[in-house]
Amino acid sequence: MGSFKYRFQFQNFILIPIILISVTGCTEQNPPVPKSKQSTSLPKTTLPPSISKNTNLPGPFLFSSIAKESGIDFTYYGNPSPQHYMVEQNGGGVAFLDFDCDNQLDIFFTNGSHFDHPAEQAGKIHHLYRAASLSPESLHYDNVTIPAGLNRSDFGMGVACGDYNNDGFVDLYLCAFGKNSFWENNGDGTFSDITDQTNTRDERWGTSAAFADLDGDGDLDLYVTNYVEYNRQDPPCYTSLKSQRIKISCGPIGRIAQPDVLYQNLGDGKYSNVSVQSGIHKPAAGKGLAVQIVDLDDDGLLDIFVANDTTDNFFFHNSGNLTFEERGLIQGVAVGDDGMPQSSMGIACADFNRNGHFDLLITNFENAPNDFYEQIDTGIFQASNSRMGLDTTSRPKLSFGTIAADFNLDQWPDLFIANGHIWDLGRDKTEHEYEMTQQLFANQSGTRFLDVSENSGPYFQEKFLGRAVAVGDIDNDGDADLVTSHEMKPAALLRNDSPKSGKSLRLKVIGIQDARQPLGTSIKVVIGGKNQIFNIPSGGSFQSSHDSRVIVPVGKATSIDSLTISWPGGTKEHWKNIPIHEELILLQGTAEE
Amino acid sequence: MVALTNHLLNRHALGQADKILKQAEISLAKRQPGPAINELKWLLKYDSENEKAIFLLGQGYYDSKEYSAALKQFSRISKGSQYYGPSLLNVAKSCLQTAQMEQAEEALENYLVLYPSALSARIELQWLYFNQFRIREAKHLLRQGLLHAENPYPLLYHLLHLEFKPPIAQESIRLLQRINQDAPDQSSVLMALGYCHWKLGKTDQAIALIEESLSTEPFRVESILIAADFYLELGEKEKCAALLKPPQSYPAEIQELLQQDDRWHWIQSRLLFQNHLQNESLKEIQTAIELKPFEIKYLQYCGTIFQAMGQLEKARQFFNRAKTLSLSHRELYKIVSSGVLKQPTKTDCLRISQYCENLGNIDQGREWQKIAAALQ
Repeated sequence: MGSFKYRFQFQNFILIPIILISVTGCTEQNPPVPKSKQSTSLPKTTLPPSISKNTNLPGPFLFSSIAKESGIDFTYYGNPSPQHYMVEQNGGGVAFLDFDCDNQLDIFFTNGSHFDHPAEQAGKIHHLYRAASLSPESLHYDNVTIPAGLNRSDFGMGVACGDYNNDGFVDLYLCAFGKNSFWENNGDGTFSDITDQTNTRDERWGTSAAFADLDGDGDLDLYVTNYVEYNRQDPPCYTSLKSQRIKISCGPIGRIAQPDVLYQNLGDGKYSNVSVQSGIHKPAAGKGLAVQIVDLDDDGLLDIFVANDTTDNFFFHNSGNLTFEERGLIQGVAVGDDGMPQSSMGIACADFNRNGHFDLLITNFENAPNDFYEQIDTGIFQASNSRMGLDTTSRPKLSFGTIAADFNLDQWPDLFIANGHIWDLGRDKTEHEYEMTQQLFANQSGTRFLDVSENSGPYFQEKFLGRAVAVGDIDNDGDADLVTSHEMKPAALLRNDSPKSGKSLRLKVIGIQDARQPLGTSIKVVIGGKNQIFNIPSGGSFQSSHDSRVIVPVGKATSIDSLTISWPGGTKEHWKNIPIHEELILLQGTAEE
Repeated sequence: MVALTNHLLNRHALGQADKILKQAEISLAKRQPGPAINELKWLLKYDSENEKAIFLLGQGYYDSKEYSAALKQFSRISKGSQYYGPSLLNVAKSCLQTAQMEQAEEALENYLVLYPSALSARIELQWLYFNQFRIREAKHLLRQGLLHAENPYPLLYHLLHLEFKPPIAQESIRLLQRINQDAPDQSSVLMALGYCHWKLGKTDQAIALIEESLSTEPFRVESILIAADFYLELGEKEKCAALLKPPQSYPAEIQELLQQDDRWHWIQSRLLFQNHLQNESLKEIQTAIELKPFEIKYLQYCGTIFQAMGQLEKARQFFNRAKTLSLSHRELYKIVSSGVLKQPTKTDCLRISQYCENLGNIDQGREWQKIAAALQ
C-alpha cells in the first residue's frame, strides 16, 4: 500500500367532440401536411440482459422507451469534443407541439454544431417529426424537417412554442449560440423564418425562451434568457484531479453574464424589445439557463421565473403594464438553502403538496442538492429539499431538465429529472459519473418524494448525458409521456405505461379575447372537495417546450365540481359540474356564471 | 559462564555504542538501512534502553518500508527523552503508512503541543482531517498555526482552499476504503466513509458505516453531529432527536461540547422546524448564529424561519445579511479558483484580506494584510 497522503484538489364549459368546434386554426380540418419520404417501421428495441433484468420488479411508474420503433432517430450533433468548448455543454432542446393541428403531438429537436466541424458542413440539421399514426399500441413519426422548411443548422439550444399571431397554428422560437430564429407556422405544414421581420434577432447565447401574454393584451410576448459571453477563442479551462491537470469545458464563474430579453408582441406581426422599460434589466444580468412563466403569487398576473447558473435566480413579479420587479431574494427563491447562488439549470413547477400554491423544483450541479422551493403562503417560499427527501438523491447528480407531472394519476404531481455531467472526470479512478441514470420521484402525498427510478423501466437502468426533457400526452391516453434529448446518445421517447390510480381529463384551453393559446395561465380545479391547481406550461424544464394541453387527474370522480381559469387579461372564468370525458376544450367566455 | 560472557559482551557493546550509533547514522544517511538495522539490533540487545539506538532503528525500519516495525520502535521512546518529539512525528508517519489514522492523528496532535510552530506537521494533520471531511477541525488547526507561524502563507493558502475546494466524496471514497480495508474499525474513518456514501446517495451503506462508527466510539462529537444531520436528511426525525438528546444523557463533558457547538443548534433548529415548532426552532438558530455570526447558511435559515412566521421584514434583514456575506464569499471563490494564490500580487492580498474580514475571518484578514505590506 502506498502513502495515504493524497492531496485532493481539489371550463358553462363546452364539451364538444373536437371535430365539431368551428373556430379557426387547429380546430379546423387538418391542413395538408407534407409526408415524409420514408415511413420506417423499425423492430422493437431489444435490451441487453443487464439492462432488462430489473424490469419485472413492481414500481409505481413504468415507462417504455419507444423512440426507435416510432421512427424517432434523432441524435444530437454538437456533442462534447476533445477541445472542450463551453458551448458543447448544454446539448439541444426539445419540444412537444401539434404543428399540424391533428390533435397528435409532434416533436421538434434542436440540433447543435461544432466550431471545428460545423453542422452545416456535416449536414446536421434540426429535426421535426410529425405524428403520422396514433394509437396507444402504435405510434409512428415521420421526419418532416425538410418539407417543413426547418432544415437549418445552428448552435441550437432551447426552443419555445407559441401561437404568436393567434392564427391557431403554433410557431417556433429557437434559442442559439449566435442568432436566435423565429419560425412562423404557415398552417400548411411549412414554416417561414420571420426573425428579422419580428425584430427578435438576438445574437447572444440564448438558452431557453417562453411565450406568454405578459401584458394581457391578447397576444403572446416572448422572454428569452441568455447565458454568458463566450467565444471560440476563449482559453480552455482546467481542473486538478488527483494531482493531474485535466482540460475541461469552462464553467460560468468568472464569465460575464448576458442580459435576458423581453419582447413585447405589438400585435402587428412585430415585437419590440422592452427589456429596459419592463424592469427585467434592473438586477445585474443573470446567467440564465431556464425560464418559466406562471402566476406564481396568484395575483392574476403572470410572473417570470429564471433559473440562473451561479447567479441569483430571478423572480420577476409582474406589477402590471408589462413592468416587473425582481423579488427572488425576499421571496426565498434566489439562492439555495445555504444562502448561496446555485448552479440552477432546470425548472419544474406544480403544487406538489396541494396547498393551493405553486412550488418550484430547481435542478442543480453535482454535489449540490436540487432546490425545492415550497410556497408556504402567497409569494412566500422556503427551501424544503431536505424535508422532501430530495437532497440525498440529487447530490450525486448533475441535473438539467425536469418535469412535474402526475405520472400515475394519483392527484399528486411527481418528478422526472434528467441527469448527466458536463465533464468526464470519472476515468481517473474517482466516483464522478459522466453519463448518469435519469430519475423519477413518486410524490408521497405531498410530504416527501421517493426515488423510484430503478423500477420504472429499462430506460432508467441506462446512463445518459441527460439534458432537455419535455412532457406531453403522445398517445392521447390521458397520462404524461416524455421526450428527452441527450448528448452523445439518441433521443428517447418515453411512453407512460404506469399503473393508474385514477382517470384523467385532458384539457385544451382556447382564448378568445385573450391570447388564443393562453400559455402560463393558471387553472384551479375542485373535485370531490380536493383542490388542484395547474398551469398551461410556458417554458420550464430546460431548453424545452411542452404539450399545451393540461392533464387533470380526477381519480374516480365522474365530474369536476368547479374549474376556474385566470386569463392573462386579468379576468377569471368559472365552470361548474363538468362531466368527465377524455378530452375537453374550454373556450373563453363559455362559462355560465 | 554464560552470565560472564553476557556481562563482557554488554560492556563491549556499551563501549562500542557511540561508534555503532555513528556508523548507523552514516548508513541511514547513505540510504543503507540494512547494515544499520543489524548493528542497532545488536546494540539494543545489550543496551535495550538506548533511546537513540531505538530511534535510529525505527528510522532504519522506516527507510526499509517496514512501517510496523518502525512504529514499534518509535513508540518505545519515553516522554522524557530528547528523541520523544521527533519520534512522535515518526510515529505519525509510520501510522500514516500503515493506515492507522487515529494513532497518526494523536501523534501529530501531541507533536504540535510540543512544537506549535512546526509547519509541516500542522499541514500533515490538516490533510489527515481533510481526507476525513473534518473541515472544521482542519480550519481550527490552521488558524491555531497562524499564532505561531513565522511564514503564515502556507496556512492561509490551505485555509482558503479548505473553504473553496473542500474534499469531494467522489474523489475521497476509494482512499478511505483502502484505509478501512487495511486498518478496520477506526471510528473516524468509518464515519468519513459513511459520510461519503451518504453524499453519493448510497444510504444503506451509509447507515451501516455510520452506526458502526457510533458503536465504536459513541461519544465522538463529530460523529454525533454527522449522524444527526444524516438522519434528519433521511427523514428519520426520531433517530435524529435521539442523537441530539439521547434518553440517557451523554457524559457531561460531551453534553457541554455539543451545547457549545453551533452545528448542534442548527440541526436542532431544523428538526424543530420540521416538527412545526417555529418559535423553538428560531431560538435554536439564533443560538447557532450567536456562536457563529458569519455562517451564511444560518443567516439564510433564520430568514426562512422568520418568513414562515410571517415576519417578513425580519426575514428580509437576514436574507440581505446572508446576501452581503455571500457576495464576499463568491469573490473569494473567484480568486481561489483563478489560481492567483500561487503567486498573489499585493492587490490580490489586499482584496483577499478585505473579503476575509467581511466574512468574519479577522485573523486571516490581518495576516493577508501583512503579506500585502511585505510585498511593497
